[in-house]
Amino acid sequence: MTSDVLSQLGEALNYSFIQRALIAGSFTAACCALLGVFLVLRRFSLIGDGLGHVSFGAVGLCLLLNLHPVFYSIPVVLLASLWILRLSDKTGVQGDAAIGLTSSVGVAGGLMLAGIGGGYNVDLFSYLFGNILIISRAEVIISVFLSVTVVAVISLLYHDMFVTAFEHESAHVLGIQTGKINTVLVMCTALTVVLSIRIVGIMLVSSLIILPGIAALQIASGFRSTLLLAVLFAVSSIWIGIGVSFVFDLPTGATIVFVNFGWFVMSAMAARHMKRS
Amino acid sequence: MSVSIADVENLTVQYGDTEVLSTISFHVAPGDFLAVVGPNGSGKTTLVKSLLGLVEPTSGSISLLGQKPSLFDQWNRIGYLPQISGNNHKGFPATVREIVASGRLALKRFPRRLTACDHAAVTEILDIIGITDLADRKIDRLSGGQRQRVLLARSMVAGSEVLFLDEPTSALDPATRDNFYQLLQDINQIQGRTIVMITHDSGTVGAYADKFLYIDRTVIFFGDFSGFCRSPAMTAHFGGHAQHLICGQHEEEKVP
Repeated sequence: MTSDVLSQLGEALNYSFIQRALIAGSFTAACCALLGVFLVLRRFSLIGDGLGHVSFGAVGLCLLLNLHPVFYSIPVVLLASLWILRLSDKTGVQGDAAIGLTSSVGVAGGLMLAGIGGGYNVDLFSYLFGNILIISRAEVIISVFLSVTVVAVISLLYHDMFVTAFEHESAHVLGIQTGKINTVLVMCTALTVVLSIRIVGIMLVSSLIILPGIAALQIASGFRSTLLLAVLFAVSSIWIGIGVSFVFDLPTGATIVFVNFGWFVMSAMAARHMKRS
Repeated sequence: MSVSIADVENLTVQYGDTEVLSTISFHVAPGDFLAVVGPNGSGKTTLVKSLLGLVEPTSGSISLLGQKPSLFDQWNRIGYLPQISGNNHKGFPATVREIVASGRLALKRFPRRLTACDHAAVTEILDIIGITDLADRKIDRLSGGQRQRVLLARSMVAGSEVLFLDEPTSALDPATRDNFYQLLQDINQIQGRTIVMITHDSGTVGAYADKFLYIDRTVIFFGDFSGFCRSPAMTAHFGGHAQHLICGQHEEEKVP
């Protein structure tokens, strides 16, 4: 039994679609995990969910106009992320309400466009649940490029983002332009959300952002170790999720989410055990 | 002639229709130890936040080290300890050393990087504040008093000339509080740094602060401690008995 599973996994690694899924999935999941830690600490973690719903509308628009759904969704979701920030900063609408508002407009837009377009409903709804195994070579390249860009931005702004997440007002008094840091954070999140919809789909995209971060927060002993652990959980979930779904013929996106959830449960149990001892 | 630390003229702040501060005026000179006192909801925190550009004034003018707060760019000269409550920092995964080190960021330009010199400064300030043993503990595992000392270390680690402290003693036990005041006195008198401190602890701060600003949405009293003790406005506001309790104690302590 064990040798059968191992041989199937070895065989899977020879398929180019599995290789593409592992590469794109690992890079994107690492970005999600890094951003997720900052978003969770800022209590802004549902922005991933909101932007995922916006991407539903954006993908609908791209399909209607016969444009590439992932590439051309990026500017739409970027604009939506800035809109959410502006709404919560300038109008007094609370952050969660701003996300909810934008999210529902995004979904309504997607459904409206699906109704108008008619014929591409199947394509549009395939984005709801994603399929990492059908990622194209071009999508892999853009995933790697954008992920490296996001990691470089986080690395350059690490201290600014750290102190802004810790205390917004103290960050201001340290001379950090917290408004710009918030803008960079949500724009990076928007990019990452669009990349992630191919992996787990619009419905589950927030799990890639939230779960690795909150799992790491249970047991990490410092900020850098939290980021590293979150990346470790996220990337390992992609590899384990793809492997398990291939061997047992399960939906890949959902399997990845369940592995992430498994890491969270184990971390929470470990944290409880550490507290007791 | 040295630039004054802060000049506030007729400052008024409103949140919606509620006036939180009304026509506040006072001045902070280099080397002052100013205690900002007043009852709950009197606008003390709003006042300090206005000085730091965190709250937009409705009218009036503020000058901080010669600049308007909205255009201020000398953050390396300012240290700030915000008010803390039980829920602050809950679940935040950083260690004490990481938090204190972030105080050095005011000295850096983009891309901000901490060097061995910064880490040495952190080690030194942890020792001065007496929290070296907490260096590798997570901030959310500390008591309120410990967190206050950590944030005080952060506000001091860059060697800022001016410290703004918002209720820094609220969670300290009496012994730690006395050491804390002694430390502030050294910082003020030996190192010559200016301190602006919000406190409810008016009974103790009188022995250390050389200026008092008592506000209750507007200025009730601004001046030195002996003036505070003899102020008719304070007697009318506080009642003679309470004023005597605060002042009687410290006039004795301040006699050489």
